[in-house]
Amino acid sequence: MDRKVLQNIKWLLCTLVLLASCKKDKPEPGKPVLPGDKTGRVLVVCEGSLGNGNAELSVYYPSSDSVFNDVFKTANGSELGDVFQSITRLGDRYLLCVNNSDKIVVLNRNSWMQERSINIPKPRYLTKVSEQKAYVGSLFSNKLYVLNTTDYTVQKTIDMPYSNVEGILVQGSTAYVCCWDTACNKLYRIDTQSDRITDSVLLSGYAPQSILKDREGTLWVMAGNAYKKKNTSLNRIDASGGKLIRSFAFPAGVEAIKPCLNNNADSLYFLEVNYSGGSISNGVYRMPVGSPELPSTAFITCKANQYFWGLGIDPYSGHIFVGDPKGFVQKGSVSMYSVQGELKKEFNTNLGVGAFYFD
Amino acid sequence: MNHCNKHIIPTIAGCITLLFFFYAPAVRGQEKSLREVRIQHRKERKNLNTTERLNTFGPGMKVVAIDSQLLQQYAQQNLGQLLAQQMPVFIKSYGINSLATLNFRGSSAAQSLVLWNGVPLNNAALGMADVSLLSVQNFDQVHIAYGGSSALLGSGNVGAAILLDNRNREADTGKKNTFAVHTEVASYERYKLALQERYHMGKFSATLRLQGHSAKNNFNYTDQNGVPQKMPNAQLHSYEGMLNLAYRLSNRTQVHLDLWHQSFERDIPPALFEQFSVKKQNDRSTRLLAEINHTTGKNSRVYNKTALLQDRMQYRDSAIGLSATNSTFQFYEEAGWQHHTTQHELLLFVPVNISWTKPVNDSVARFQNKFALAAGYTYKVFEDRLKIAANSRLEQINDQTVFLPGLNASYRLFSFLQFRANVQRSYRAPTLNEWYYQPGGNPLLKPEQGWSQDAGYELKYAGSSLFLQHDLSLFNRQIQDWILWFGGSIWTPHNIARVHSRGIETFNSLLWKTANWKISAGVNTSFVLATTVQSYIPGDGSIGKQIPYSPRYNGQANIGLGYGDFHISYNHTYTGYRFITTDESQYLLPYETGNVYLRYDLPLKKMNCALSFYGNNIWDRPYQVVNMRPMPGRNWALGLSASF
Repeated sequence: MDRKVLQNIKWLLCTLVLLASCKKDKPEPGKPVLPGDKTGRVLVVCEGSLGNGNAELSVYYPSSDSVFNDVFKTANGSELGDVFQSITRLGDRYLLCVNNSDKIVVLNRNSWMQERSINIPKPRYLTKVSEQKAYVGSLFSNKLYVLNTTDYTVQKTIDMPYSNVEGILVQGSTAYVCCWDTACNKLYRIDTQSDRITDSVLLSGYAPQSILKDREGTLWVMAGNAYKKKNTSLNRIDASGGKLIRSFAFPAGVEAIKPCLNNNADSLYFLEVNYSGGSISNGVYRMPVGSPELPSTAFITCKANQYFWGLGIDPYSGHIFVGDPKGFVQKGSVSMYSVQGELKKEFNTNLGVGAFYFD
Repeated sequence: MNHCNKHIIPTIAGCITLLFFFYAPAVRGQEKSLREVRIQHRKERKNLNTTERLNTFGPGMKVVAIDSQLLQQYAQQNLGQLLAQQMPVFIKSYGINSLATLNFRGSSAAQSLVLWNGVPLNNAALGMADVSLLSVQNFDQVHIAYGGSSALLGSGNVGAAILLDNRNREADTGKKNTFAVHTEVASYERYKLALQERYHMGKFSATLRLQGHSAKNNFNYTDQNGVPQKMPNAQLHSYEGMLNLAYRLSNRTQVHLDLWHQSFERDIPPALFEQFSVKKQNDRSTRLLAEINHTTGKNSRVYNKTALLQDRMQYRDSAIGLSATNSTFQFYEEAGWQHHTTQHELLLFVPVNISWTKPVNDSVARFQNKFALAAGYTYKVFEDRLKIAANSRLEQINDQTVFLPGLNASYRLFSFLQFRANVQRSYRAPTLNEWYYQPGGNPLLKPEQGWSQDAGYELKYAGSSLFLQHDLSLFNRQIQDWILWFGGSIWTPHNIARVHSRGIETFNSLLWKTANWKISAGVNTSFVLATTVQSYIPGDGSIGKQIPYSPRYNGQANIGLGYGDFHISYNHTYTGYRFITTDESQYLLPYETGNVYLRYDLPLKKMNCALSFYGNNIWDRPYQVVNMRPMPGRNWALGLSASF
């Protein structure tokens, strides 16, 4: 009996080994290559999935319809960090704000190699002020960092009345600064020579986040924080007089983000995001700058269980680039539309497409 | 805990360790604690606990008991460490001092239940249990019920259930009183002191367990630039106490009262992508359970248990000015009646589980109410060789009613070979956070539901000196509307249509013993395919891909040698690739750990005394269980236990 039992066990163990070998475990990723041509490329900011440190940079060439993913890792052999928020070009370098890694990565525009890393807490957006100076906003802090772009050191900080400095627009020697704080309903003006706040403009809503200038020279400020019960508003400001000339109130609970202007700066585009992937207030919206009211329907509608997270307009072709993060749990995708809203192209990128930089 | 108190545990632990080293040889031993534990383990329980319920009404379910020797070996470690090293389950550990959750058979953390004396411990808001907070020392019995058993254990039980029981809740009159102390000194300035008092007097018995733990956890690791670093911000200070009271009112009636309080003050270490971390988390749980068991006749018993649980979690990150406190409450009530004859077993019970929390940024408290009527029936024939059980539960969860049937059977073909099969309906309602968390809660979320099947056999041979066991299980589970959290800055749970999990598990062990020698060996394996087969997400790249953090391959091997009072064992674990993303585009490399355990029972006369040594990750392999969270390298612990 004992022998028979042992034989059975041996047979079963052999079967198990065979069964367990039926699925190959090791993934086989492709061999990434680095993009070379510097002209006419679209840099895709892939912020990654919060808390996973898997932010990356993808590059797309519309002319050859070629996509390069994992650009940072391929060039540097390490991960970029957690939550890649924005990218700015200064000369032959790209400055990448990696929000949850508390750093700005300085990347060589030719080799994609990291030249240095600047430690700034929770950086969001970097705005060039002059050839030697840039402003960097920071989340959870009321500090606006003044960066020397010659040696990449923080020269000083400007204490803002509210925290979460986000959108900054520089016009001459004035910087218009948004503090994305739910208690803030003003747009601040800073003298870029003295780095001091000189004035403010009262807005119709709270939590200003983004600022743009249209072809008529007027400023557009998108404000709001739906989850903190601050309704979204769009404010139009006469830049010369510094007065609010028009405001648009979004319905309660609507999250409108990432506004941008088309090539002629006469049409405003923005995303409305429904995190549950529902059909209401979810997609790309468009309105002429002279429109008396907000658009009621989406220009590009999200499908069910989808929301967009990245929006940009190619200044050369006018094409509209829309990023679908696909839940931030898999490769994102980018869709390219014509000005008429016709889908021209789709391609996959790294994780969490959040923004575009047209170089 | 103030600065002074932080040094109390290491100081006391160090003093007691020194004391034993000097005085232990002066006394002679009498009985081996290992044997004592085993004798108690075999003792038949009289109250209807959850394990007995599964054994009686789930003969076709795979229920694995963690044996007393393993419980003793891991007594000073947490449940997550025990399971990761000894069971075919993936413990998703975010690193030292951080959350550790369960993944059985490709299930999500919220799909497995942890039950303490039959009461769910899963956090009512999160739906999951942090097994890094459950010290093995607190439990007399640990069982794992693989696969779904929603009818008997309640909805939410999709992957498996871990049953933690305190045997001494029973009024064990006539037992002698014992006092046990354990001290431990370990790497990274880890100190531990644990005390246990078992007291019996007439019809009354009490067990008190106290323990304190202090650790700096400043282990070495290599950062992303290849530079060696010491882990900052990883301190731990914890204390907990559990009191189990039992009183025998009569020969037919026993009452029990259990009180358990835990407090953990944990620093959350930085992930590899972070420059620093000043995050801190404080977890406090208080649990109260009252139970009465009454034998109504020769073949019938009734019982009632009432429990109130509070879990309070405070999370602070001074770097971003964040301080959030979340408290959840659970009220659990269950009344049941069991009747048996020679061939029939019947159980009727009514469980009620009301949980509530007030989510951060929400103006009102949110409730989840579960009321159920459940029944189990077992039919035994051919001298108990064939057991067929049918179970069902009608459960109302808020305004939804769901019927959860199950059918299982076992057949003992020979004395050494038994087959089993189990079919269950699975159902999990979204948790309070999944519905109401601000921001991100999704009130449109649908419940997860589906069917699971598993079948297997057990080969067991027990000779006079040789013991062999081989157990194999095949499982298959289809879950519709699987819930997965998506998001960047705002995380929102979504239903991702259908997930198919299937695989194979084996348990294999061998034991050969003589009067003085004992040699053991064992291998446990699991192969799990948990793939998305249908999706609601447009252009989803996850179809046919493995669910994140579900390794396909997982296994443990053990080898042990005992001679007289000396025991040494080596454990080796292997965990395969874990995908970080749903489309398998990012993954973590497999890892292996080697762990040793040595124990020497000191030959003392007036007390049982043992020296123990643990060496974890002895090959010093760098690894990450979860992306960007480095795990400690080689580390050790020296312990001294005494009972008298």
